[in-house]
Amino acid sequence: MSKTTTQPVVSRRAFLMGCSAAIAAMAGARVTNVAFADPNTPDDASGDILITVFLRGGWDALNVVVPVDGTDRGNYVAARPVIKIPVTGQGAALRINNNGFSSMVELGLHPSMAPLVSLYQAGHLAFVPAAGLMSDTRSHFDAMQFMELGTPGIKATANGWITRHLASAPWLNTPTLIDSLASGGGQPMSLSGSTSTAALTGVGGFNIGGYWKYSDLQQAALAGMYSGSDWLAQAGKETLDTIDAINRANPGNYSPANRASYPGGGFGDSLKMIAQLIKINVGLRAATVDLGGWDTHEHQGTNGGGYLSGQVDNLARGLKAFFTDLNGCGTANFAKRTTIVTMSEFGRRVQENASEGTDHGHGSTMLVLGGGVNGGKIYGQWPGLATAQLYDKADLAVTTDYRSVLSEIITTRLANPNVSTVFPGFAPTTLGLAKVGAVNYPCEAPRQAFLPGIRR
Amino acid sequence: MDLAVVTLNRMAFGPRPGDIDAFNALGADDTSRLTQYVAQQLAPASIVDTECDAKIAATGFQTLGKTVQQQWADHVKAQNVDYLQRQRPAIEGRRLKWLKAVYSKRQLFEVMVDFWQNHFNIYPWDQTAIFGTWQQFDQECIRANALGNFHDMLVKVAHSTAMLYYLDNYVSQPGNPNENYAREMFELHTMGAENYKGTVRPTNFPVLPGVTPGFTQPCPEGYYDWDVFETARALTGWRVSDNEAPNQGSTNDGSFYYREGQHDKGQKIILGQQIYPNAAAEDDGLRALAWLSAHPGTGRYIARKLCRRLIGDFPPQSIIDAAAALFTAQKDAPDQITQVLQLILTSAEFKAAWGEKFKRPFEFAASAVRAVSGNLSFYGLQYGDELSYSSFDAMGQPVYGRRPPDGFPDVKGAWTNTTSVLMRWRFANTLMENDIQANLSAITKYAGEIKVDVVAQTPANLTTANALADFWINRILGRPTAASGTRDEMVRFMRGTFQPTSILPPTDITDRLPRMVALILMCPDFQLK
Repeated sequence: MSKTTTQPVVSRRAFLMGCSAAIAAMAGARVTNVAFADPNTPDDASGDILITVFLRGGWDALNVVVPVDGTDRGNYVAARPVIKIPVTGQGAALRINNNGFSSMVELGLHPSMAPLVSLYQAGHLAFVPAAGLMSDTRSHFDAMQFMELGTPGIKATANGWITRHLASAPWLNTPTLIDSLASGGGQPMSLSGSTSTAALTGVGGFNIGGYWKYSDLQQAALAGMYSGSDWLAQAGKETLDTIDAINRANPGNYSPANRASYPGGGFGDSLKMIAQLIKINVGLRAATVDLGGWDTHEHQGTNGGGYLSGQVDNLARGLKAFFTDLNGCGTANFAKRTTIVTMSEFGRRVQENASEGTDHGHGSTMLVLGGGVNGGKIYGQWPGLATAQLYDKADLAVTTDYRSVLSEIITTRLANPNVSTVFPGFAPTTLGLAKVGAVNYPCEAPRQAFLPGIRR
Repeated sequence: MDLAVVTLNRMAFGPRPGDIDAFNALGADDTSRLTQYVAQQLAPASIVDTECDAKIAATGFQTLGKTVQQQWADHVKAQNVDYLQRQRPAIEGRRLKWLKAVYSKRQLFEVMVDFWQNHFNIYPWDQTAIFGTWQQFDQECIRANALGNFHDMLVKVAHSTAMLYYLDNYVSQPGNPNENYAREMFELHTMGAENYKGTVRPTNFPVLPGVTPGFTQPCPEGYYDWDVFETARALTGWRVSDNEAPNQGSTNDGSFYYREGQHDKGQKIILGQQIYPNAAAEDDGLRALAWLSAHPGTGRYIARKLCRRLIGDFPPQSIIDAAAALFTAQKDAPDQITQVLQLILTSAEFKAAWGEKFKRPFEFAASAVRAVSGNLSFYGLQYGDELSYSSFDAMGQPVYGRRPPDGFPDVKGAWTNTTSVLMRWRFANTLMENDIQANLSAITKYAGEIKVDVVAQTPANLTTANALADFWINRILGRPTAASGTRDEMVRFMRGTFQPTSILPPTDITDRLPRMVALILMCPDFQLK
């Protein structure tokens, strides 16, 4: 038996790569999973690339997409005398066109959401307030697990909804997938605390290290040792495949397009790495990113400032940079076939607590961003903030099951009609937030700067 | 699998040279050896620990014996103190954990310290009050009770400065109490999410049949959010004597401080038990902790977790049930945890399980250092965080590095992802290249390092690829055979252009042997426990 292969061949099946540990140094954010299809599949063949951003810790959606007018402004102010986002003066909420969303409320945005206002106005970003998990839980860990499995109330589900989407999308033809979400809790996930500024080393350095002279021989030995079919051999094989795929792409240094400016720190670095993987055409189909630090039990900030403001700023600037980076012209418009959705395990209690924070609540707000989004609109139904309208008389109710938002994206943008496989037993409501068919809009990328003195 | 290998991988951080033989010398058959080993390990004070003691003495720890007041004065309150000096209690805790995992002969005790640290997980590095008082949490809460009584440990933790800060109870006030600690106490520390019944408690909530020891009124099967809310109220006023309200009795010495004026004195119902208003200081909080410790759901949750750690990811229900029943029945025994461990570790289920439990990164790294007789040393504090920033943290389990309170997961699915596996291989290479050292400055001495010389440990008469592969496979795995692919690959790697039975030139041995040993550390068999 001879072992001359020093480079394992990339398997033609799709695989998921848990990126998390590579960026474990960053406490606040991480790429949790990346799913590739066969690299030889043309990238514009079918469905969009799906990016999900999970806001860990239960974000205070009511202070991000904020009641700024209507009867519920009064309810909101009464419940949050200290931490409310003001409507005038320093830290005032930003006004956006509600397009007649609700008679009870007009919604605005946390001042740190400013980078996203232009994307909303341009029709690329939509909000779905009062969205979330219908299950009866205020536990972080239960709620996150239910959302990731996609089967609220059932923990025994063997794999996550993204895995089931990838396995059931007809055009992906993927016989084997690593379960991405049963392993979702594996690496540091932040519920509280600040966003680390640790740098991402990026996709470079994805190798076994050691003494260079023996690297190929060691890698060949690993391929020989991890050649069975049990779970451990699979894990080893997938690792070797990933080393090969990443190194084959040889991404080197990366500079974002269109003057996109990612925020420093883990979240910006994570999105930048994903943009890089999208652009080098190695068959990226889905990626999941965690952004932690939303468990704001105390001192979350007043007058639109403080801790929560920093969190929102990081999120907004990261999403803005990511979209801008992808939103080039012609074949460089990757934004047209990328859909980004944010979710959190729950929103927070309407009533602030005595430590100027908020405890675990229920209804949240989802953001949907992408070239294929019917943006500039607020979707769903506003349940109201009067006590009788609240969930358990305490929290914003959920009127849109988060699976409805995802189902529409899956069927319309990801070209997968098998939504009943992805979310078994669930009957989704269509909101109309995803564009049907190919996306076309004029080039929005800034013109290249004029560089004097370059002659050929 | 050999019972010696099973035992030393699951009750210890892997075998060191000689450990397998020592286990086998404990008795004439497996049962008597195991019984003897467990009995020894469950009496750690009677185990002589000379080598580890010497390592600790040589490291020059400064904070291990400090009271919380001393730590507060020296590391939190003191002015003009360097940041590393403030972090010293936690940094020394981390160093102690490494040294004991690698060198201590009281291995089961260290495994249980690791288990309870993870169970009551605290992320220390964000707040001075936490890392500056870490030794209170580590020594007085965890190490003092790791084999003792669960309720004692829970009460100690609830009074620790680190936990009161970490889960916000130190600022919780009546009116709108901060629920963070109460919720995680139910969900993570005692009854577990498996006993969470939902947000609203129905009028006729299901109760356990008969009288439940420790309860006066009928005991509910599980808990609801209302129990969390009421317990949060019961814990209001449980604070730290920090610099708040100096004229309210706070002396700013960093110890636990019951602030009566911030306690919600109203009546409460927790787990179906009534608490009358105006209870004595701490009384209603202590009652909640006692009920939580006594609830059979807590026994089941802790037993499941212990079996998951010590037996397998999905341990048989039979051993969970037996351990849970004993845990609950012995809730007041000072050696409750010892009794439960004795039951689990001498069970048929313990002996039978092998092949499904994947070492977590800390277990992997410690077992690798033990297997190759690495020399782990720590020196003066340096920025650069000794073993962090090395390839260890990249595996995803930095020591004291888990931010959320749930602790690191203990099932293989969490650790078999591509990057974690890659970084594990990389750690093996880094270790064998003698590059485990941290301190970004080349001028000053490293803050911590691990040095390995496998050539010096190899008998001089072993000179062929076959002999070297067999010697080191046996040495590292604790048994002569590995999966067939592993031995083939080791011989192939070691022999280079020579025959498996040829005498290799000494320079080839020096060059290839450490890299072959690295490969054995990367092989599938070494990842299991």
